[in-house]
Amino acid sequence: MTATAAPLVELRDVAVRYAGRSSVLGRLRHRPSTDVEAVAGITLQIRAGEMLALVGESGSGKTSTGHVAMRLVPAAAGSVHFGGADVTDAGGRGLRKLRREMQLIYQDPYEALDPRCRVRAILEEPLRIHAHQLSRAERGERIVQALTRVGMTPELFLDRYPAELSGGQRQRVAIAASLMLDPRFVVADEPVSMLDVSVRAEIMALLGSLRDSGMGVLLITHDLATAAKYADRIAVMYVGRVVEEGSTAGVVSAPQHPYTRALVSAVPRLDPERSGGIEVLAGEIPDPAHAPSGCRFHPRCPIAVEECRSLEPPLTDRGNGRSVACPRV
Amino acid sequence: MTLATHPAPGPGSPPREDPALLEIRDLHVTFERRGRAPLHAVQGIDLSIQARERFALVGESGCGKSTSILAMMGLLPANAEVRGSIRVDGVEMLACEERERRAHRWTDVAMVFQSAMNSLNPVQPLLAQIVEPMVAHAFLDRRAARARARELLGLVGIPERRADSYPHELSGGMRQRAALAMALSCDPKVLIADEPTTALDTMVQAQIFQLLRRLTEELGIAVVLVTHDLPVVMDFCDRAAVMYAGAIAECASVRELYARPRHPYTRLLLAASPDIERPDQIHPIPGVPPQLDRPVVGCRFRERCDVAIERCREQEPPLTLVGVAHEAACWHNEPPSEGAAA
Repeated sequence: MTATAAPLVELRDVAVRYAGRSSVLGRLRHRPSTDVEAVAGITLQIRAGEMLALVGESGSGKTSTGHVAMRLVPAAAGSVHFGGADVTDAGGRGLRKLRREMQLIYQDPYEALDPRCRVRAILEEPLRIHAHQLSRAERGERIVQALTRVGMTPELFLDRYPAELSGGQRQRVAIAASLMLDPRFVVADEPVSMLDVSVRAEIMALLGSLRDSGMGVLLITHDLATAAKYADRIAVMYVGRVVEEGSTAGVVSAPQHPYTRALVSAVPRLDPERSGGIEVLAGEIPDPAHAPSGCRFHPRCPIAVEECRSLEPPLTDRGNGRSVACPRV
Repeated sequence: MTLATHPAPGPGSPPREDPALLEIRDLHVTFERRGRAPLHAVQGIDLSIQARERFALVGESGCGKSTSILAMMGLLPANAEVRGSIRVDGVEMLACEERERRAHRWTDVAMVFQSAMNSLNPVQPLLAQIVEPMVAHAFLDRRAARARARELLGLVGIPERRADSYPHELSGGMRQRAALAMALSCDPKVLIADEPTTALDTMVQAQIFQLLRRLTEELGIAVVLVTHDLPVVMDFCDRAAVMYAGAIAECASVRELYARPRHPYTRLLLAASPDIERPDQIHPIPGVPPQLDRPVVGCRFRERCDVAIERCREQEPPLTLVGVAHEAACWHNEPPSEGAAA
């Protein structure tokens, strides 16, 4: 993780927009449909061998950010780079090649696996699509390797159906499937939120081992405690913008943006006699279709002043790899 | 604090002088299954919960926590056989006919679910839904019920202008607030909350627990929280019972559980829970709970236990008092025969 190493994935001022719903009446009157800007100009870098956690509430744009980084949705503005190349407009063959290098791990391991296929067939499918030059024996070998890599004994699991697996085992198989094509970049979208606490740690440790083996990992989560344990860096999102980014230890132990501060304080602690109370913010995260003017956090901000209503604060460098989008801290 | 007006509640044993608001004795729930061995989901649990208390049933999926509360609510399916005793404010629920039980539901014990959509009617405006149980239980006439429903919306923090919204027009947090308003409509003594914030974001979760805390303090309601999330339990509750494979492994105040866990499962659960204060220590719990379709021999936790001994294979450890209002079911808490105190 040297500062000079080129990032594996880079988003430069990227925006993601979804077509808004327009009413029949609106269309008759030729009123333009209002697009929803889920991601409003964010810049992020993920290096090989690094796990970046994107933390935020539902509606903050974190999943859209993951999708645009994988080119699953187009960037409405800005550029997406992978391995140093601009892939913003990659299509056809180029995109197909790119897809092999990036994999998405979903929240729900129950839905990610085809219930009618045995583990062997589930793991073989990506090879049949993307690596048909491999012989049967080579494919079999890769399948065994992938299962071993996620800590499952191949002989025990190859012929099982998803229904015969526990939640943690299913998530392992889903991860093994995503490893079949040796990706360099993995996006894990809430990978443990459906799992029991006893198996969460092992799935997260597995993602950590992928990072250690040199992959870039983007962890998307609303669970700051999990991010705090496993990620190298944390970026906090609020209504389509990154409000704070920095090293995990820095963001968690000394949050600077008022939103991050409130979020860190609202995470339940194990120690019932915790020091310091919870700073509960009133209200809810606004709908991105009606993002507030100026600083998007100003209506809920405890330290907002008049100018926060009109001026959108840029993310500024505060040294030590920390950036914060608030001129008041 | 408000708890001071009540004697310190014991973990499982009934405080004789002050009858508990909710008292469960030797509760068993068995599901008969066609063509398969019956499933013994709950295998004899005792609990007593006082007014104003915030109590948690905590454990992994399949430990019997949800089955236990569905038994309290009388909401189990027909293939469930329930034995033991469940008393709410002195009234034995298991002896009631279904009609009688229905009268107690909502008025004595009310419940909110993980997904508020499960308790809300998608095609009825909010206010009308909150009025419904009050009228159905003849708690109030329709006019008074409407006035109370508006008050309740204010209490749970739903803006007045939302009264005529439909559930799909609300955020997840607002829906859970609406489900709470409905649960509170007939002035229940006990509110059961089954993973009420699992689907919600951190800040919304904090708001809901702030609201639930106010309800226990201002209205004197007891809250039984069912969850797998130990940090939430530690933050919100006074006392908790840790359930494992259909039985209570340990029961104590949350301070005791955190500072002096006396069951290996509680210790491992604490170590497996992510804590933002000490992010470097986190350990998975290896193995899976035993199948509950066959008799459990010995300690039900022994196969995953890091300190199991020979005795754990043969004899099931009973839930015994191991400290002040602190019970645990582990042979390691038995004072050795020499008589050294734990």
